[in-house]
Amino acid sequence: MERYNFGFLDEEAKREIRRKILKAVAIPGYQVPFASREVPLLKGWGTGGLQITLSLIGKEDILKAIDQGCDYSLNAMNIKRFVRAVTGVETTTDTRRATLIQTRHRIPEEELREDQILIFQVPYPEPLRWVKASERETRRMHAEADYGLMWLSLYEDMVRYKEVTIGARYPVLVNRRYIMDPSPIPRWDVPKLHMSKHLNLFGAGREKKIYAVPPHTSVEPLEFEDYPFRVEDFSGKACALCGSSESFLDEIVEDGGRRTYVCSDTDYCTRRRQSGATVKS
Amino acid sequence: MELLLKVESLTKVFGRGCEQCLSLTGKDGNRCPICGSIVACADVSFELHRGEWLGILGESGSGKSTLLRLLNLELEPTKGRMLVNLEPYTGLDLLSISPYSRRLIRQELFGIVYQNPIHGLRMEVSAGGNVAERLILMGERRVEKIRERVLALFRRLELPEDRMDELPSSFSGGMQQRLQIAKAIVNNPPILLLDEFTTGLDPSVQAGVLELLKEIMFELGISAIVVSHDIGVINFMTHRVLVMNRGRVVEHGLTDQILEDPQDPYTQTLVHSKL
Amino acid sequence: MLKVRSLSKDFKLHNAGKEVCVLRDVSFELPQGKTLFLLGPNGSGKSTVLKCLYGTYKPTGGSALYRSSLWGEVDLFRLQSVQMHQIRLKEIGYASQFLQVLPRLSTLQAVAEPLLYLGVDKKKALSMAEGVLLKLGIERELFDQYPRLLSGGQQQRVNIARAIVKSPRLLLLDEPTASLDEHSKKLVIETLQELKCREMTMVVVSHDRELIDVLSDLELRMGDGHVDF
Repeated sequence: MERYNFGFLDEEAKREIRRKILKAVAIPGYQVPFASREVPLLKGWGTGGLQITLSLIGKEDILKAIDQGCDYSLNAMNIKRFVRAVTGVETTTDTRRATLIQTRHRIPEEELREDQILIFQVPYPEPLRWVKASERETRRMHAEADYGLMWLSLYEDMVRYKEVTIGARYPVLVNRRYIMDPSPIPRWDVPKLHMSKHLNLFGAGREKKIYAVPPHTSVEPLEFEDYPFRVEDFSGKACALCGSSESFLDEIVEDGGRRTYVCSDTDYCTRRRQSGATVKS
Repeated sequence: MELLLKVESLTKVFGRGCEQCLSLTGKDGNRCPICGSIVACADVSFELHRGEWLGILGESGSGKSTLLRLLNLELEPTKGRMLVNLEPYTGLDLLSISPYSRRLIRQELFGIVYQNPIHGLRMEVSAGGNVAERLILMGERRVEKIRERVLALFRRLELPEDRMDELPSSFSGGMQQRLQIAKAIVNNPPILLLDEFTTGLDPSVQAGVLELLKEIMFELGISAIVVSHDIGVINFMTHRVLVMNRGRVVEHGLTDQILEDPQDPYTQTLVHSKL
Repeated sequence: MLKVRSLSKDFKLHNAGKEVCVLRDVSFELPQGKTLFLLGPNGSGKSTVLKCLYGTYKPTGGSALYRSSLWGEVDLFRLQSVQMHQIRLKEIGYASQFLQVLPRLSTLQAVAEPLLYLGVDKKKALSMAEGVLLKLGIERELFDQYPRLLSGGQQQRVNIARAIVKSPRLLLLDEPTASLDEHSKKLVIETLQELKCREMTMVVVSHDRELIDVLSDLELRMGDGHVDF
């Protein structure tokens, strides 16, 4: 592995990505185009997030990678193994110890700190793609804050179904200026972006875009007052392993059709169990 | 009369443009013999006052539609200023500000009705949604309130309430124009821009739309810029009129004066051939 | 109140390459509250004088000094169209020989319209219009009709009603009694007399002896485009 530069990317590439990250931080929610490089990962498997991770990571960093909350999925394991190989840095599953967390589709349950950076893998960065196919048009719409059509699509949902039908990828307004796609996190995680202590970076490798939600920045889901934004409802349900009723739960259908629920955040669940939490029966 | 808008030397040249574009066009045509650019609109100046209905009369190709698109800030002018005299924007030149601010101010100050409903309506969005858009953009976040206002406008414009949630493509031509009017006035903008908005309607439908609109314009005390080639519409809807030919204003005055005692040879031909 | 000096009007027809002289050197002075009658044969340019004063025609030469309530003394022939529009709305009433109103506006609405332009509240405007129409002998049953469907005499009175409903300072009337029966004529004359008592200044084109006898303070006899002494 000595044949590779530290962090796989050459220093020029890292500098370019860091410059784009700085720009993204300076204009919260704005999609900054960047020269997406080839990395030994299939496009669509987190190449955007990985490039951000590789350009930011230093020898002292500790990396955590999760896929839909899980530290042990193939994708997360592969990313950790690759970064270890090209940097030699330590990896962890402990949310509290990590300095960089690369994630696909979840935000950890535990509140993150100012010294932590959360890096999202983004499949489709353009929130306006729902309503407008042309990239040229969506860029203009962002520039002018021409968000009528986006709002109308929510309005029409209200009129037709009495609620917004969007599940994951719920559009948010960042810093009262840009509409942003928070990546396919569940609605449950959207409020965690609002005024968060940590820095959020979003990388879309295939679409060649980087954007950011800096710490202490307002992130508001698009909503109507009389039809407010709601997170997923788990009332009456609890994790079958740790008993938590305050976390985002995955539904598991067992043989025979019985439905049980477990924490989507495996680290959170594990630590609760280690500290003695049990399922109330 | 209180001044609302002062337009100065509004000019639009399509093409590369050169020093002589303006001086060498206008008489025989509006293509510059030197650089080949088209002078669509040259040095147009006028004032619009509160409650005033100003006509822009001209044949197709006279530059009147370009002028309206410039006024609606859809098109970047080659030259010119557009000064607003309305709080909190008094003294602001709408052409000197960023596209972002322009859009914000435009939706507050102007409502527009186009000749072709395809330009004025979003055909993939329900009729009610079309009317609602401005309200939402201006910050109204209560679906209930939005629907109340949309409903009131549907009633006022004699649109069928029970079809509020249908797509506008299922509406008749006259209904689509009334829907455009509802959309244009939903947030009570001070200025309404009307672009040949009854052309293509049956004469009986046209009369109905014109009268309804005139009534509403009275009620709102709204100012209007009415672009038309139709002398009947100009006569019916405006107090003053600018006559345009080859991108120039060839004559302006009180509407009855222009129609009964036109001074310019072009206006005389236009008026006499149509009366 | 109104001083017209050397008014002349030519129509220049560019296409035909013709110039038609309609008025030459017309002058008169009219104090406030007085009524001037323009007399003379057809084609002598009487209506043209009214249209020049109202701004429908652009005079070729001369001046018309008018003491306006808005800006004091102004030359009606040299006002910007915006100002002329404003003066018309507020202080000049004009009833031409032909009724020109929106095709589908009811009679009552047509008469209330000038008040709406002035910003009068709709209810009040309609009730004022009602008063004027009744005074001129237009019955209530006709209020909802389209003016176009009315008889010639009725249309003429609707036209006068439109001109006087806002109580203008200067009233221009073109043949106000031309197609009226005796009874209607009496009503119109009475109404105009009343306005005269209220110091309204009028310029009237008419041949009607009865009208002239009752209202006239000054007369200007015109022949072939100029004043005939």
